[in-house]
Amino acid sequence: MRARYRESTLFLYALGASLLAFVANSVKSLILPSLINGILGFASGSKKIPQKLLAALLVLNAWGAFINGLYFHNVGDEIVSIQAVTIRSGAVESFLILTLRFFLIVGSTLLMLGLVNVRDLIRSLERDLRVPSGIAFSIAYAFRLFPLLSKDLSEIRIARKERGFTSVVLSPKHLRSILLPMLNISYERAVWGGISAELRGLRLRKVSGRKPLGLGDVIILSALALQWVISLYS
Amino acid sequence: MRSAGYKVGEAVLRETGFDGGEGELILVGGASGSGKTTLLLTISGILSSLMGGWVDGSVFIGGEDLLRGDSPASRLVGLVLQDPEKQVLMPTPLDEVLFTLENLGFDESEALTRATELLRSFGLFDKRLDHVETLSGGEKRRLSLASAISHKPYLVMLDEPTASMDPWGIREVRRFVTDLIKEGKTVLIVEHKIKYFLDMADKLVLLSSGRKVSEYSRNELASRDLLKKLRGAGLDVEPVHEMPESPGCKERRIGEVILTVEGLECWHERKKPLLKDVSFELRRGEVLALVGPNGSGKTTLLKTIAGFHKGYSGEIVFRGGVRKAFYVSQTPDYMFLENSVEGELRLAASKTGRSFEVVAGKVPFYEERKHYPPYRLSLGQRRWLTLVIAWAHKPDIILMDEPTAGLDLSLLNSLFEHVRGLSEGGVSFIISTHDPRVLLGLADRSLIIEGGRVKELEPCKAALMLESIAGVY
Repeated sequence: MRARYRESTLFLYALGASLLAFVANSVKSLILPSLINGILGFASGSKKIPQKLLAALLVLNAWGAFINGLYFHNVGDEIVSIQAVTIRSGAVESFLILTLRFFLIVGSTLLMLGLVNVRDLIRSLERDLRVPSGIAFSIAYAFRLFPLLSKDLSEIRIARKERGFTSVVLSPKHLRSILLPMLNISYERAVWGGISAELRGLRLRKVSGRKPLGLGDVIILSALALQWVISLYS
Repeated sequence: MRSAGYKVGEAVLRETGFDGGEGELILVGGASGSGKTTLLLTISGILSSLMGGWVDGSVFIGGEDLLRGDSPASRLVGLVLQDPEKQVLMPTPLDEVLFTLENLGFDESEALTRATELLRSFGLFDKRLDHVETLSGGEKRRLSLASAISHKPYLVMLDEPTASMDPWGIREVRRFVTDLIKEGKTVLIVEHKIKYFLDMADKLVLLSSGRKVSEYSRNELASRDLLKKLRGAGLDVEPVHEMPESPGCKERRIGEVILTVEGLECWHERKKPLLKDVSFELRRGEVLALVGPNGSGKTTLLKTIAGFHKGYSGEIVFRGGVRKAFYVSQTPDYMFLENSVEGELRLAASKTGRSFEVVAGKVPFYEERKHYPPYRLSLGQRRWLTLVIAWAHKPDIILMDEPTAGLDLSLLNSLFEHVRGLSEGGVSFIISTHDPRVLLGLADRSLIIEGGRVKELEPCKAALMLESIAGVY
């Protein structure tokens, strides 16, 4: 028998897991929820989100976390020294915390994406959680954009290479040359997306009735609560 | 429409009024910036309801003013945006069509039945649950058409439907419009390539600087003299076979061979090659057009020559000291890495060792627009800027992907002039296109991609072939 659940419960799960990522502030408290959500999320969500985009996000995050650790938390015992750069325990710990947080947030989001249909998610958010249709639509539309972001990234990489930038992102200026076109293109797309939604009656949307809580909802929310308890008491 | 605009006190549309009956096609023509898209946003109520604009006027459908009262335009109007990528909002075709129906309060089972029937009639039933990103450009266009009429609107509006469409797609849109007219819908198309719809139009409304300057009936549109006058006003009215001979069809002096492609096979999946046994040469200063339907492999071929697509076998040999080719994407915005036109040109100058003044001198709108973000330039200006950036990098070969999509006649002529100037200076071009205007006005030679193989065809004949496929010749 299949356990029935509301799509919005999975949204709450992803939201709760993401909040946990910000509340937990040690490697010990993050490791278990991050591994569970990271493994399950990447396994189920990678069918819906392009793997290249996930890989790019992973690399960008790891690089950012490493630079952040090196600049702001490079204190404590010396771990390794490479030429003029000495990496200390504080930098490694900071790198691990940021990476685990990334795994927890992205993993739980991917888990949700892997299990729900976007249109059902909008309906469930409106019907079960009374989220205004504009906000529910914005959340759902973000998921439609993932494959487009992947395509944008690939085209921007080509343009950067043509214009004399290296493929490897080495400095904030290099990072800016990726993010700026990406944000500008996404902004324009979002404006036209809004126009398209308005033209198709988003403003008139009314969803009635509520789906009763099922066994699936109880299991999902219990799993979230359990992760919070383990994390806070470890 | 007495006046309408985006900001208080700044009218974009003035004194523009017309009417249309059931089963009529109203064609609205005008150059870029004439207010065509603003007109559609005004009629659909978007300008005032979503974009913070204002309207002094009325839009009546069956006695009901869409801009006032309780009946929002979305129930009565269907709009097909220029770019399906921007119109499609949901991840699957079924969700996309259901989205409109659910918003408008259709019963769940009725919505599902209607969406399924519609997707079947648009040839998308088998792909109804696939992600929209797996659809081809033509399929996305069909999906945008289907979702615009799913709620059976009285008025269907299309914003430059031929802008980035191949002739096969244009033929499909013409068929779509014909069916709507037969069903008794009122259809409004804004377009600067009006030649594709002139034979079906009941009325042509001409806009210039946001104002209606003239209106012509079906009978008047049959006059050759009028068409000549419209062409003089910058509208694309004449099919290729009626156009005067242009420089592109004449012999030009070209130099030595600088690129040889031999036995090229390209693929995204190794077992399904997209292009097979492609062989051709390119000479210095030559403009070579690459013609084929959307998804035929034109972009892949350009990216392979530029070195960005690795799935290939065969030989690509640059000769005569040429080291590589510069690829310019169909979407100019990908090329912009700075926040102002000046920043873009300074970056190009610094990366290439050219003098900034020389680079800026190639941009006619530089002084007027130097502090503008490149994304806020007109499409024609953005394309111009990408070409200047490409030129700054001193390439011997520039590969341009659909450079004329969305350009009106005046911007097109400016672009042609720019390309001709560069080719006379020794730069060679390979231009992927399905625009007959490129073949007729610019190309020295053309290659047609058919079933994954290329064959050479004289540009004028290729242009006629495209017009014939689109159904206007």
